[in-house]
Amino acid sequence: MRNQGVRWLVALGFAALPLCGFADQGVTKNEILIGTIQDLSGPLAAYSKETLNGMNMRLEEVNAAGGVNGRKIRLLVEDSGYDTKKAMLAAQKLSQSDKIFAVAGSMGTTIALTTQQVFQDAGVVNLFPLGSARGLYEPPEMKFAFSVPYFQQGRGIVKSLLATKADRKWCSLVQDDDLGTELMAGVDSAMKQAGKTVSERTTYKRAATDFSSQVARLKGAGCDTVILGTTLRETVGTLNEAKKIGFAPQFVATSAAYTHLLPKLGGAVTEGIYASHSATQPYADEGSKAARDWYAAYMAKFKEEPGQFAVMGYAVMDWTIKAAEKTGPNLTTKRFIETMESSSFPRDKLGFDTMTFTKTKHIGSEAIRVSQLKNGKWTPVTDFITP
Amino acid sequence: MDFLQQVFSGIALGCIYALIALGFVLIYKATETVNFAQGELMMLGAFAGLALVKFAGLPFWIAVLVALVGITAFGALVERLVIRPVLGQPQFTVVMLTIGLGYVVRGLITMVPVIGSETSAFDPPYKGMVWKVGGLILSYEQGTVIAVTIVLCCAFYMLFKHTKVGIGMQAASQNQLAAHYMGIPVKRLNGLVWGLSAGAAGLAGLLLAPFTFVHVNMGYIGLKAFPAAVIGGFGSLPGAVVGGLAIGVVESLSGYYLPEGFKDVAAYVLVLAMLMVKPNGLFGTATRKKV
Repeated sequence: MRNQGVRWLVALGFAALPLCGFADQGVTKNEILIGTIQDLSGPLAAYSKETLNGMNMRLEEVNAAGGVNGRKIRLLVEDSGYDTKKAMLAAQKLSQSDKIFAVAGSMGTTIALTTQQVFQDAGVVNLFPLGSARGLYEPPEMKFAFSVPYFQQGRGIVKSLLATKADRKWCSLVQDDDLGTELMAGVDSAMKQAGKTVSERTTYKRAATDFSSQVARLKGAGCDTVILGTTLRETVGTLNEAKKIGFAPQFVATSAAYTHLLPKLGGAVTEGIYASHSATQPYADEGSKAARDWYAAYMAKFKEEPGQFAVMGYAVMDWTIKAAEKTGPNLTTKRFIETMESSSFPRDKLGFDTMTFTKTKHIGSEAIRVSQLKNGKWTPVTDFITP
Repeated sequence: MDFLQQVFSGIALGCIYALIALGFVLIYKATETVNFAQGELMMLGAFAGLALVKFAGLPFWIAVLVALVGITAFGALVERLVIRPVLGQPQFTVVMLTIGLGYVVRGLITMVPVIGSETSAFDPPYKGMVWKVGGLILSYEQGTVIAVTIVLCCAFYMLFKHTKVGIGMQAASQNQLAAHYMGIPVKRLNGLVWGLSAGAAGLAGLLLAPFTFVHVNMGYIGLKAFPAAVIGGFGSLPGAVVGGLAIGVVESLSGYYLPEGFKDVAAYVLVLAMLMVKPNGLFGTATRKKV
């Protein structure tokens, strides 16, 4: 009986062999197939639309210029509806039926985490998902990431605040899920190093509508620095409540609130808030000429302002193209990964930090910078800080 | 002073729960089913107001009025097209239908260009203004919520006590068949009840919009209104209001005085306690169906 079990295991092992390793699919004489899983019908649909705009913009640029080493790039988009079950089917379709070379810029941390094993098994390179988690680049397998996890953001925020003023009454208001937990773990680890503690901690449930008791507690505790692990609506809700009761500490949020939509939604109350981020929000009349030109080109093409997701979509496609170009005409999965692991993409017009990948480090950069909302525009107040 | 401030905030929040709970109870009383799309009707009301201001360029107050009339008509239409055809089927059918309706409404809204998948601000003209009474601070938004809830409750009271339609509704809710034999147009009244209930939900949505903005998932707050209705006793209108206020105040106070995290479970703890102590709710009457 036991013998038979072992035999079965061996047989299974051999059967699984062809599943491992590199697929070397999706590259023909004239084409490179890139897949992406986006949320076209669920809660993140607006973000996915922007991301795809950015990706397509860069893709059309390279295709118009003759492609990557003579090969045009074709982007295959699958809809997940931000549902992990649908995302799994999409991942299987992309890797096994469409036979893509790489998947790039998939939307959402959970979606990227659930589907990565499918791509790994199929030997498809997994590039730059739009999600933040250590699992998206560790262990360093066939996956590469750019988005800084909240843990590192928390450390970076504390480091930057300590640099300006060490003596503070630290407090926090965070969403009681992965966002808040990861962020506070980072904050606590940096605070411990500095010999400080968070005096008052408050949380809220995702999609909460009322923050009066949390803000009253923060005010009662006499906080002068409040770290916000909040997303768009909850940030504005908190700031509105704080203004109402006359509570004005230094509010510092994360990339979850760093968006051009924040001042649009909240108006004057958002003025002065700080947030950590990696890419810089482009504006028509701010930043370098290259950034302004990019903004104008995006506006002309899509008739709407580019947000953070447009910037990220563009960058994801840009890095993918650069790595493929560097690999050369003989584009195989193995060679592509080797290229990625010895690549460094310098700071670009969109304001990302230098992205350096090695054999053991598959996240481009863990550094963040801090910006402040001034006159309704995000203005950087620090350079990149390595947490 | 902190205590009073928290109570005030709690009452304002509780009024929103109460308005949605009123919708639950209205429909439950009249048709003995629970409308699980109540939160979505609320969201729809807010979106209607937003669209009228944004696309039709109507002034705020007119947009609010038109949105309310529209959502009331929509409620009556839903009753006619979706609910009435399955009349006489088990209650479970209607419950499933309303859950499906919620999904459909959310899906359809997401498809609306520009505003459908975004979070939008829908600011009333009195946005950001506050009253300061002693050390208490009450925003105009909160004041409006409380005032409107009081007015609506009075209006419902008058309707059910002193008008023919209201008394007809009461009769129908006690025994549909008997009411029908007495010449009360039960079907038409059911349509009206759905309309009123949708109107109350839409009003809640419009009042909630300045706090939480208009977005497709705003209807999930209905999950808190449900315990409100249970606490009040599911078949009682005053109960819904008291239940809503109780949950609002308990949430607010527990968020301030109890350890972190209690705010989010307070509403459900209250319901559990209520079900143990007084299973029929505060104002519920113990009724037994005769078979």
